[in-house]
Amino acid sequence: MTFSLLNASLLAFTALIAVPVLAHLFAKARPREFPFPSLQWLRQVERKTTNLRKPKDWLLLLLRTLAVAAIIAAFLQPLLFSGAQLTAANARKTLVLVVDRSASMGYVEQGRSRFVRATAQAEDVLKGAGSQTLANVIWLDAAPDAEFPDPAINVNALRDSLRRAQVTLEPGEVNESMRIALEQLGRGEGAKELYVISDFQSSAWKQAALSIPPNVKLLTLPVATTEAANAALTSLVVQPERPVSGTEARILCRVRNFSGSEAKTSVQLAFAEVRQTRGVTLPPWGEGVAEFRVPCGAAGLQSIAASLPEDAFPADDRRFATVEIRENWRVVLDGPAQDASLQLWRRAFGSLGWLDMKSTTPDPEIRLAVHAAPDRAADLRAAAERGATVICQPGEDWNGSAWMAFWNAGSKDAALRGEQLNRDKDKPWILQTVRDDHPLWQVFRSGEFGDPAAGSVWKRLHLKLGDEQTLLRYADGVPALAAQRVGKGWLLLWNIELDETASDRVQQPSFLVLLGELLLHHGETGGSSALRQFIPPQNVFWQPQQPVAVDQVFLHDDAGKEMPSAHDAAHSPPVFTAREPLPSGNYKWLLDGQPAERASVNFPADAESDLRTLDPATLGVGSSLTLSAAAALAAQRDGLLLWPWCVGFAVLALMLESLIARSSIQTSAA
Amino acid sequence: MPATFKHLKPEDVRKLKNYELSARLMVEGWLSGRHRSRQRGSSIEFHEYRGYTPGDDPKLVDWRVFARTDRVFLKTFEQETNMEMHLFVDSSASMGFPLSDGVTKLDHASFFAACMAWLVVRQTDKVSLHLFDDRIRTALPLGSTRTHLHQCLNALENNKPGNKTSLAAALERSLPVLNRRGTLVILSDFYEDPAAVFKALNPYIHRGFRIHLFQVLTPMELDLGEVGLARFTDLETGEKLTIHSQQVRESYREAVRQRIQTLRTLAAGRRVDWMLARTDESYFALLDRLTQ
Repeated sequence: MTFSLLNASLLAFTALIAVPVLAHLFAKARPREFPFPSLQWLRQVERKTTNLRKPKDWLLLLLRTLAVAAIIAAFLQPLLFSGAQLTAANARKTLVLVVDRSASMGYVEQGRSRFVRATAQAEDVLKGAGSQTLANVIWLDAAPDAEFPDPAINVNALRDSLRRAQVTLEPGEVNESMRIALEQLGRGEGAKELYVISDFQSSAWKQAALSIPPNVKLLTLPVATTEAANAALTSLVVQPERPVSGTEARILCRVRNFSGSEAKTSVQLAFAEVRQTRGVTLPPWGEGVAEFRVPCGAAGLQSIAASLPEDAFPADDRRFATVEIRENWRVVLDGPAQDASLQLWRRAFGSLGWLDMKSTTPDPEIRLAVHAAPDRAADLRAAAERGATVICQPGEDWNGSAWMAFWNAGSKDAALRGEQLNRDKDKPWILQTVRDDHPLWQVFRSGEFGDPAAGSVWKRLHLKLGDEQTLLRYADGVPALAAQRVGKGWLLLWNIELDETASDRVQQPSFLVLLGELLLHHGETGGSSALRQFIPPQNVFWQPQQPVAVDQVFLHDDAGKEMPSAHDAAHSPPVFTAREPLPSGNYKWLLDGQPAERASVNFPADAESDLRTLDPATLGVGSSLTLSAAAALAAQRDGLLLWPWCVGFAVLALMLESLIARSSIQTSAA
Repeated sequence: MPATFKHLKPEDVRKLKNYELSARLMVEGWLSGRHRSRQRGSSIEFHEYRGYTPGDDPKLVDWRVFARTDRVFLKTFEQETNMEMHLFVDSSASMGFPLSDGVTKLDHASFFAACMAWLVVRQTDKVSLHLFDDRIRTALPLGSTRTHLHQCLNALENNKPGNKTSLAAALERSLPVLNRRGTLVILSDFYEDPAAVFKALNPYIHRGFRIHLFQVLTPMELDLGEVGLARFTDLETGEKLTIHSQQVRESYREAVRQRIQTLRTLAAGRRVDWMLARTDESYFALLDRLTQ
């Protein structure tokens, strides 16, 4: 057994032990003088009682002296070592610590985050490293890396790194970190110990494939102490993906409940000048959606921020997105140049101010094919699948194969048959609406905008479709207007001739309203949250479409604070990147002081928001240590810190002293 | 009698007029027929005839009997005596312990002594006064006159507490001057070895003195009281002792009780009268008991 004092500089204060002795001798109560005829009889009884009283005084003095000595000893911080510990401390060995700094380690338990606990544990382990110990720290995040190239003796540098380290927003790559750790141990000397300090988040560790060599001792230190309940904003979807200025966009905020009990929360949305709040009820381990409808203002890039009331894991309580608001939708009309119907379509589209008709443009939002050739059927469907709204009025020459390629229904052998009523204009085909609850008809319910099915038709194609896709049909069941969701876009089958010789549909006042509503409801409805979104570990970057002056490009956050950025001149135009991983938020690239591009950084909720942990023992390798066991292990290595015992002993001595003194006073009073 | 004596107040004198010292207190006989002595002496009261023995005073031979019988007889007469009371008042430092109203234990004892002297003189008996500490400081011989009484009262008034108590020494010193047996009244707190005291009293007892011991003690001395932690100073020696009164009170009471019991037992064994003179009780209570 060896003692050592951590605060040996305070050794001079041991002289204070004399204080109670001196106090006992000199600071006794000064009794008042009392003249008495004779002390003859008093001396007789004094001799009897002294034998009882004196030891009590000495006991009190002893207890007080011991209490002071224990307090002084506590300040001196004595350490108790055994000989074996000293020998072990001087033995050569290699120590590698895998410290989890993935996003889930930011969860706050009992006032301290899991990561703070982890670094404290790691420090404890390193403190116990002997003078000959080689050590290294592997950071467990999306791209695990080692603090030193090889295990080194400079433990203090590692401890300093641990103190400065911060939790990341990244998921953890367990297998990679373990691979690096074992590789580091392979380069070490002597006994090899691998410490894994993590919350052992179930989603990250259940897929871990650990294979520990027999010469490596694996010790796992779980730092999660409680069953964590968490609510997270998992996605922010804008519909349509690129709304048109002046229209209304729908924003869907998905909130997930990562706990076994139902939860109620509220989602706050900030979009331009709009602030809205929606309440959401979340079933156990379920999901809720908060829907917001916001008006889209001026065209351009606009930031969206959604947030939940902050909980113990605030990292996933906010979600950010960037939406591009378009000035208008681009429309490409396709058909025989002299086709009368095409001309009518052109005039109709031209009267809708939010449509921009182009003769040709890549991936227009709306594509109209009038009397399209059969060989265009597949192209039209492909355009719809890419996200366009395709309105197609098939030609009479469409065969079954074309129809199959376009609508993906029916039979290859089924020929489309054109039908024309030339005999009697008084007996036209009459239109009627199908699925009256469809939102397309909502605007017509007041009657203000006329009857959407008004008009007579004398020429049509004979088709057969189910009612589930039909919006307008003829009285005999032949579909006049049908819609089908295809990929990210829509296919609209238009089976109403606009030529005035074939129908009077164009002349109906409800026609333009119907056309506008049709486009709005079947326009670009595919939502997305992926627009300019970066999920760690992906770093924010921007590559302008044209060469720019690199010294005029800056990255700012939404509050206007400049974030450090760098550029890669190897590309042309150069690629600009954030120099460091950015926290969740909206950012903008400024070019010549003007916003040129926006970006959103979001928390990897899918990987990191589920804070359930697993017992390291279930990994089947190594031995698991509790927090207290880790402290005990550190104590074994460090030596046993005796100051808590000293303080306890002092308290005990003072309590005993108090009891004895009190009993003495009570005896006197009695 | 002037009413200016400190230790004999007029109201006390009025009360004392109702007292008379009883015969039990007397030793040598009644004065003027009241105190009949067994000692032979010269007086007019015939006692008996007895045969002559060489050395007898020839003056006492009754020649008429010799003439009739031719035998020599001596005619003896009863001696007429006065009562002689010797007052011993302890004037040691311990008797200076203050009581209430500015009086001390010594004053309390002096009040009693003054009353006794007044009573004795009033009965034309003789009284002597001995003030002692570790020695005889004042000794007034027997006297029965008013002048003598005044001398006694003045002596008591001028008396101050002195040194340590040594009753034994005082008694030993007084023994030679007390020729006739009489009554010893000793007023003291008896802070000395009882055996030594009785060793000194033994000659008096053997000579037929009637002895009355009055132990003058205050309630504080008997009980110690509740003074708490105090530094007690011995009035005789100046020694100091720090003690918590409550802590030793029980033991002290027991010690005092034993000490008193020892003195009392020794006194009873020698037919010596002992009485506790508590200072919180009137000294007339002592007189009451003494004159019963």
